[in-house]
Amino acid sequence: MKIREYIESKRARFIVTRIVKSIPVFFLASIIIFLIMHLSPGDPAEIMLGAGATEEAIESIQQRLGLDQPLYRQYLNYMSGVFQGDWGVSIRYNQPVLELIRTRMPLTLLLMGSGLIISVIMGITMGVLGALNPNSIFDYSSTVMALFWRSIPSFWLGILFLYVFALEFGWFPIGGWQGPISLVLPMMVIGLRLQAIIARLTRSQMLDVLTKDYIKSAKTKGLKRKAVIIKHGLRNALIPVVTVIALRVPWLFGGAVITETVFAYPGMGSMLVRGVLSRDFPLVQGIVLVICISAIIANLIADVSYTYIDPRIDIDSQRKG
Amino acid sequence: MKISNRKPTVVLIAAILVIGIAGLSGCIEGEDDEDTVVVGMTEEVTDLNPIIQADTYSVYAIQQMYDPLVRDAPDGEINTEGNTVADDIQFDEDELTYTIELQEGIYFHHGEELTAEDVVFTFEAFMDTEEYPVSPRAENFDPIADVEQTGEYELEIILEELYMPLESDTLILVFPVPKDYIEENGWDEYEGNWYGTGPYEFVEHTPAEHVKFEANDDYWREGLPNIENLRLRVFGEETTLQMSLQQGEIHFAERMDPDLFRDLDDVDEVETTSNPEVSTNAIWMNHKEEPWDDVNVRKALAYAIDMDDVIAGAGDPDLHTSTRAVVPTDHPAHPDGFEDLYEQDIERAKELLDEAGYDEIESTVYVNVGPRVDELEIIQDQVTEANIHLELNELEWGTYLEDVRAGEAPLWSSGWTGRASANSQLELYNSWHGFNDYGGFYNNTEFEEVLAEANREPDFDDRMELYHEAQEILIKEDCAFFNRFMEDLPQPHHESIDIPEQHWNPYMDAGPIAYIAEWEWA
Repeated sequence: MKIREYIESKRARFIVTRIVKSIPVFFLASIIIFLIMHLSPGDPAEIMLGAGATEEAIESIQQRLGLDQPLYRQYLNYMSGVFQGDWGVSIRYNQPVLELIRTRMPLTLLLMGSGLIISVIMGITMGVLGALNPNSIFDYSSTVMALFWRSIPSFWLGILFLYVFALEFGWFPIGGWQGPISLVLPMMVIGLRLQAIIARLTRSQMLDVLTKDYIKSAKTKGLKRKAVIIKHGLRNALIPVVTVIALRVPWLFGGAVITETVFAYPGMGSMLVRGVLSRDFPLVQGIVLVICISAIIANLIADVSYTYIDPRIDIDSQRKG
Repeated sequence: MKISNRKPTVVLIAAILVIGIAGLSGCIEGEDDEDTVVVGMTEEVTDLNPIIQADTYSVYAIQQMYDPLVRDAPDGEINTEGNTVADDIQFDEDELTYTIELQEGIYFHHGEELTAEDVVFTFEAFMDTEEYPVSPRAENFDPIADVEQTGEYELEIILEELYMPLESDTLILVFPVPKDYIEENGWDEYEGNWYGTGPYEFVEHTPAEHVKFEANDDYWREGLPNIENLRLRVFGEETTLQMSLQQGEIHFAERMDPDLFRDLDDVDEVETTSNPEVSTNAIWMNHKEEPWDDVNVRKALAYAIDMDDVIAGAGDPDLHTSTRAVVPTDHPAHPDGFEDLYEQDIERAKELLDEAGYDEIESTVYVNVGPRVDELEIIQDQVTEANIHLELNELEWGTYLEDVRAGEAPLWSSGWTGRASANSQLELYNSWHGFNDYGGFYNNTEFEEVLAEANREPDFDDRMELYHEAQEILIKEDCAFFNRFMEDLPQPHHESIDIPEQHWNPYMDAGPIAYIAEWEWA
């Protein structure tokens, strides 16, 4: 397909429309983040300088940070800066926000991405196997394990993993970043919790799909079992799973915040926690904007991927919907 | 053999993932270099500007890159030993003048020699409350009328009036910065180019992760630092910090939860050392609000509490010492007779409430989320017997600080870390002081006069006597707040390092961390 044809295609128009629709979402999110941060109690200058700070020192910092200006002006200044590549300067660290995000983002993306891959591979495999062998020992045990991973708070699971695999067995470093080996335990904490959801959902969808008439007719046509399960069964069962994965992207960031804190993992999440506690408005706004953009992109990818997973899905109907 | 046409796609995706992970992980630095001592901290360094000194953790980092003008010492004593930039200090009482001779041959990390000009410039930066950087410690410099350079390596500090805690409350804060570099390039350029004269040079500051330093090869104190590289590393979770110490990934923990600290008693590789801290851990009472404006009500609360019981239940008797005084027991300004002050007496508490005209009291304690909540829950239970009903309002730090300073909290529980001087623990109760709000809005002219007189008194014994008197008024007569305990800060370290004994000292501003240059591998 030539580029011109592709641009004029339904799918391309659909993507462009979705991106345009995302713009108000982005602005609304930016206003909400801005208001939440600025209307919450706690003065960043006061927090920064501590309990013993004089009024003069606090006022000087407020002036330097532009916090003495009206709220709407602060917001307009901030947003005009965002579009010019100036996301402000962190109050706490006195460094450009974009630079701080740029240096921390790779580790967080690595953690989230690897956690997501692990969870998808494990979750779909466990879900399919569970559906193919319902009420078997494997099915029961995978259900119990899924409940187990979901029920344990991630900070506790993180400490447990650290104690067993890092401190007792000495297989992994305790915390921080000491090369890709440092990724394994936090990735497992994130991945295991998400795989539990994917496994349960895949299982129930597969059980439903496998009773459909088109599966029976595929079998009677003499198709191989593998082809029936993967091509006709799994493909149809995956649509809600993909939706859940897309909706879980912001959750993954949330999970990364806790996991990074427990593992002293130097990603964006641990910096976000410190930013919130110190009312570092520019930093928190910057990180949350990145999360917001990621969520918008993830949902866009999910919408587009539906049409690949199931070509019967009509883009026009999605657009109208 | 039939090759599936999907295989190239799968291989491509796998290759992208592997290259992506390798690429992303390659962006980030890995393990520590050899010969690196790692200090684990529960909070992070925020600003390395020695004029700002925003918090304790930033000061830890500043102490590695800069040399102090003087070292901390008990009241009124001059300490120019070790790493101090000052070689000698003479004080002329009649002229109200300190004459400071500097060590010669001290160089900043960018090669310029330190002279009196740099020290005067540093003083001026602290005292300037108009231009950036405005120091939150500017009030400490109020007693100074002028600072003058009198020679290449000599300067004079002229006081407004006699002020004896100058060294321990003011001079101790001075870490000289390079005047010429800052004047030529501005403070903004100085951020990130932190040139000091200290044993370690700045390498990098990665927020919420670490600050890295390397040895200053031209350091003026011969043979130091003993260890080539230093890293101050942040841990958001104390359990991870504790495990890292056991594993030897870090060599020293700046502080630790007492329970986690005790768990290390059985770990052979770790030495459970602690350092006495000059701090007040108190319940402050809002003197502007009823019923806490009534001294009898304040005393009733004090009599209703059994701190030994609280420490046994939620603290550590080896680390926490119940006391009502605000200076440590072995400090010369510690008053006699405070050990038994306000021992629990429920009947007395009820009588005092009755005298104040209350059958019972209902109030709220504001507290920052954390370990203090456990203690307060025990106190909450204890005081109910005396008809004092307390609610706990747990807040995160920013909100807590704002509410307390705005006078919205009836009671609040927190800590106040001072220095070696009694004045540093008492000054916040001056009604005119910038952080009197944090001290409960206490206002008593008699107390202020006695404290001011103490700070003006040149004779050491007489001065200590006046500090005793000030504490009698503040704590015995007015029961301005209820100090719960003094604390030894748990600072365990790994067996792989040796820390000189003399640095475990209650009067040192930051204990052993201030002298990492003198640590050695065991």
